[in-house]
Amino acid sequence: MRETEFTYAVARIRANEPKLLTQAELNAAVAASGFEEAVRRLRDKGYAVEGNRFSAALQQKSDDAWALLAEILPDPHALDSLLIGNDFQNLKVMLKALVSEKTTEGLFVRPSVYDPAALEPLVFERQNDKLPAPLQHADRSAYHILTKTRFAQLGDSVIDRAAMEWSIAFAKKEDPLLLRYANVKAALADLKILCRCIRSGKTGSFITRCVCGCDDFSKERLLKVDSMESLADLIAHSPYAAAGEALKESPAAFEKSCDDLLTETLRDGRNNTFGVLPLAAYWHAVQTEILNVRILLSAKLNGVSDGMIKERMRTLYA
Amino acid sequence: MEHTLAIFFIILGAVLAAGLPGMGSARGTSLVGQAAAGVVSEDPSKFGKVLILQVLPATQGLYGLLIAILTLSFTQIMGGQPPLYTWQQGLAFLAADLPMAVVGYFSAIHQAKAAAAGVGIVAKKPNESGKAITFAALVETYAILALLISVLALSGLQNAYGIK
Repeated sequence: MRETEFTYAVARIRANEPKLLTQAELNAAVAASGFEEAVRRLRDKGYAVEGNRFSAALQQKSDDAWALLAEILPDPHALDSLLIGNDFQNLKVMLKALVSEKTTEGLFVRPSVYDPAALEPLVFERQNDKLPAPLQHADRSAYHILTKTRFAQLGDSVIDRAAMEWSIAFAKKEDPLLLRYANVKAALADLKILCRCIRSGKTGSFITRCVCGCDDFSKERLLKVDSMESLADLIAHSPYAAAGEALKESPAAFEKSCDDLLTETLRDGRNNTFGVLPLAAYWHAVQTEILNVRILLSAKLNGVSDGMIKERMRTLYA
Repeated sequence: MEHTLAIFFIILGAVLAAGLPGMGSARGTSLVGQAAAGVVSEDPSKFGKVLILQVLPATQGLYGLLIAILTLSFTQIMGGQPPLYTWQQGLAFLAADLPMAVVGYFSAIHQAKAAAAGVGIVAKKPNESGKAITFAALVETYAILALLISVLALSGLQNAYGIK
């Protein structure tokens, strides 16, 4: 698709970017004396929080942002690489519901590439071959793991890996800049998985099935990591050295650093006038803002100190 | 035969001078128009500011039209009784039209890209719209230079060939 076909959409996004939370507004909400005051400060920015339950307001914010993007995208599949992860998340929900004989009601993540309501009967009736091609292999593998071994963590990891692989595959068809974003996301996900596996003493065969590999780290290179020291060494000699420093601090600092690196990957979207990148960057910006508001409101509800909240806040795109 | 070939070259020059910058301006105003529509659909009060940006790439089409009219006028084709030209003279008039034809086409498209980026500035910081217009207007310089060269060349040829 020619990049100038996104001109109208990018202009609409530019007109909406001033509605995003600024750092000053976020700081003001962090400095609020309590949950109610924080909610009051966020209400002007479109967070219609009622009472102590804020998940619905955050979901509404996400839905509104996607509704805008869906309306203006010249190609409805231009951002599939950003959404396909939600389809795999929904697949997890369906398989767990199937195995544990529970309902999926209210558990699906949206937006997604495929309608979860249409996929659910196929997963429940085990009509694997009728599922969309990207989901078939992960569905088969994870179902086998869940029913034969009941090893839920491995089942989740197999699906997460497929999500990363398909995100990269989709991005290859979309845009080189989105491909870079998908690769960075996969790299950071692999690093997080390795970190958790090493901390919890998981074996090499488990790790083999979990990591996906990407442009920055080959799968072979990742599989050689067997200790926190070798992981730190791998990160220190990669474009993700900042995350390595954060890893020494704490797991939470590492997660924050990974999210900030992802935001940095899309930073050019602020200046590009053409192409799909500003739209992807806007979607990422909204998701980062929602994550920050979730952290903030949860912390305010639980009386966490302002200093600790600020440490957890992700860098904003705007 | 030679005269007919000369007239063909002269008219070809006029057609290129009017056609290429016209195409560039049409593409350019369309591109900026899409961006402007995106902003106005969110905030109709910005219509005036983005309209100025949309108009900027339209000027190349006018410059091209001017050169086409001057070509047909200087060569007296417009009057219906052109003097006898050699084919080399016809080719010289065609060459005189080319600066406007080529630069007009490309400058319109590139100016439109700068103007579309300017629309983004107007969307986010309406008070900075003057800067957005300046960035896009600077591209106009090269269209004006090409216009000047084409006018000078046409005028020089008119004098050199003693056309009144």
